[in-house]
Amino acid sequence: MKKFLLRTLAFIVLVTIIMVAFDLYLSNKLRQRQVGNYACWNDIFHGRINADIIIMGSSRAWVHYDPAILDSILHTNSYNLGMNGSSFNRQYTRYLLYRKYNPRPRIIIQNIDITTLGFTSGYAQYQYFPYFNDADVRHTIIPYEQFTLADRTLPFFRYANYGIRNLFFNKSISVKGYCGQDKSWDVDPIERGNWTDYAADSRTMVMFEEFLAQATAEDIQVIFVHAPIYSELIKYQNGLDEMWNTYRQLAAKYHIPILNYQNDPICSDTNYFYNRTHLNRKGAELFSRQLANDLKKRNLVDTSANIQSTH
Amino acid sequence: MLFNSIEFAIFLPIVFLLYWFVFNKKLTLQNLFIVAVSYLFYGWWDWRFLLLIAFTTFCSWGSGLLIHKYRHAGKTAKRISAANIILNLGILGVFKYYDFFARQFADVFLHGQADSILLHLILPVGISFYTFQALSYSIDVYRGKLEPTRNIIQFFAFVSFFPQLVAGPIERATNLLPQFGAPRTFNYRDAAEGMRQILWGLFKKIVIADNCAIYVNTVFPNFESYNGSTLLLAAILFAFQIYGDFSGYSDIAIGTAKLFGIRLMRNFNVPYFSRDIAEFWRRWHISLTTWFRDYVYIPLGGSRCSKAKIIRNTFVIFLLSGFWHGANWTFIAWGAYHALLFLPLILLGKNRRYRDTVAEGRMLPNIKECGQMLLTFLLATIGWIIFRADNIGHAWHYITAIIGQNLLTIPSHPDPIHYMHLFTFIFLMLVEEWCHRSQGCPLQFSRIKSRAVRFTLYLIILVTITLFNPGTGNQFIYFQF
Repeated sequence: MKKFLLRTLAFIVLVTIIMVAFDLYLSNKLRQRQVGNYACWNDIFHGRINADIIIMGSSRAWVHYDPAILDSILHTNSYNLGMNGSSFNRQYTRYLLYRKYNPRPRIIIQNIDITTLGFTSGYAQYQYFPYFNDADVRHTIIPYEQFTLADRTLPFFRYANYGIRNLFFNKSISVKGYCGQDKSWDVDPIERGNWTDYAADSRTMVMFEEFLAQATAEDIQVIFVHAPIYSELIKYQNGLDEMWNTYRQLAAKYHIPILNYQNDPICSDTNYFYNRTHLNRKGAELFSRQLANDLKKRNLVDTSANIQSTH
Repeated sequence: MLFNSIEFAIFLPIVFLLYWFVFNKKLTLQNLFIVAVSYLFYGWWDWRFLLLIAFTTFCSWGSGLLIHKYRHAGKTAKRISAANIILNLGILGVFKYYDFFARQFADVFLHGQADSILLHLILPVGISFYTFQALSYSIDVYRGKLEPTRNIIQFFAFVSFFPQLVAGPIERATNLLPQFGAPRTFNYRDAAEGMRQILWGLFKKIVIADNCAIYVNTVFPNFESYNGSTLLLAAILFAFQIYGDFSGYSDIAIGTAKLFGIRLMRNFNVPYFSRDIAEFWRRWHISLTTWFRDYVYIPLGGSRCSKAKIIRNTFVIFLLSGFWHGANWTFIAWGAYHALLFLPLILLGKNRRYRDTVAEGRMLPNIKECGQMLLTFLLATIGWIIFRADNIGHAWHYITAIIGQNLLTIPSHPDPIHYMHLFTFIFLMLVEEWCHRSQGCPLQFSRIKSRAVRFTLYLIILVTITLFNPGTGNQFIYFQF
């Protein structure tokens, strides 16, 4: 028995050493990756974002706001931190990490919609894998993202369990965080889906208020923008009055302008969408141009100001 | 709890250490511990069904004692045995087959409106396996082949022994039960062999089966969109998927049992190296095949009766074997297909031609053997198409599409590098199994004298499992049966 246990132990020790080496190698490799979900995270962690304007939100931020267009009209440097499949609780953790490694922005465009104040976790967890050694990731993200004990403690386990091949599937190219979608409308009937009910999560509400208060204290201008979604979907959405009341109250409290594009003609033209809630590249470019012009018209962006970078 | 899960990786060493260091003082205590951890293992999936397995076990144990007590009392023993069989098959029937028959009934008499008569019961994992295992005990006692055990703990350990509880091998009481009645001592060679077998089982499940599943699960549901060569490739990959999945599970089960000083029967014996379909069935899911042979086929007269009865018996055993897998016409059709392949061999008296191992004593097979193995594999693969299809129509269209749609073109593969890896691993699996085809256990590198080299080989296999885990977390296919 002693011989068996000793040999098994020796085998486990060797396997552990190999797994630690693989973990370090793969994490390092992914921290250099500039496609898919890793591109934005790597820009954040390497402190490569030196933006006047940052755009925050879910997939609607990610695929709707083209920083290049904003920059060309507003003469600023902007970056899209939009995070696919995420309510504000996740967007906020990304923002906090952004602030840790990058200069303070002057303006934050916060995309708002029916899902913003919900609570999401556990979606596309693989995007966090390479950053497990970061203390902030360990404290702000890992506890909320449904990682198992084995994911958190065993070297390489999270990668093996997810499938290494799958880590490299997402090869979408983002430019300054924006990921334009070259797709055309693929949804015929507007049916009741899961994107219909407004519900604010109390934890997310606390984070949202904390975020707004912090931005106000730091003299960062927050702008709420409701980006276009396909107009027919509105008929199926519940709790819109409550949603707008919440956003308006917060806007009044923190002196935040609201730009609502839900009644824009773009919303009723399927040529600009690839599904009910997302604009395609054509739509995103049109919307980004319109937004930039509106920001300029309403003088919400001081284009003459220099970047005041502070950590 | 899945064998390929982190829970099991924690569970197994704890149970192993407690088994050999804490509960080894007394046999009853050790058996009681086996029962407790087996119930924990099973309850991890759904604790509500623990009562069902306990009830089934208790009834079979009790019926064994009663059958023995009334063995000289006219028909009483027969009645008790029949009651136990009806009870066990009744439970199995309700959970597994009721909705199927209700749907057929509704199709004929209720214009397809089955909703009001369906039960929508969850199928308890492993019910087909442990029911058959428990049944074999009471039948053997009735036949006088086995003395019933009075020790209820031993019997509960026999039915619920966790390595083989949910997907076999379907053990015979004559083999397994006495092992729970004898003191067990730790044997290094057995334990090391067990570890190797677990490693090989994980390789077959994770590297072969789960990776094949990616291709198979893409092609089978959308077969209309693919050319014939792609469909054929998907069918071949399904043949390896189901083999890797099920024989991998069996290897892990047998290997795990060896760690506890228990020897389970061999469930797969390199079936894809069979030279005809009769040999294939002596090598595939051996525990089920022999169960049907001993408890259905031979009592019906086997092959020592008239030709008409031989045909009937062959169809009965294959149709039952198909239906055992699940309540779907595809399984019945799969059974019928194999019966049709088997019949000519048995009628011509050629079904026992190949009882030895192919190319025994030789490194490589000859051309004739290669052709025979390839043909048998292709015939089995056609059967797997029927087995995997959603319904008979799907199977038929799939098979006709293989022939009809550009069979002689290059199969489509979305990720060529991945499939190059996969084919390399399938090839290596076949090489390994070919080299050890005469032995009962894989990864016997006894010819390699250097311990360091052997150690490195095991490490390479484990690292391969880690790196090529597709991350789909696939359950074992046979859990659904």
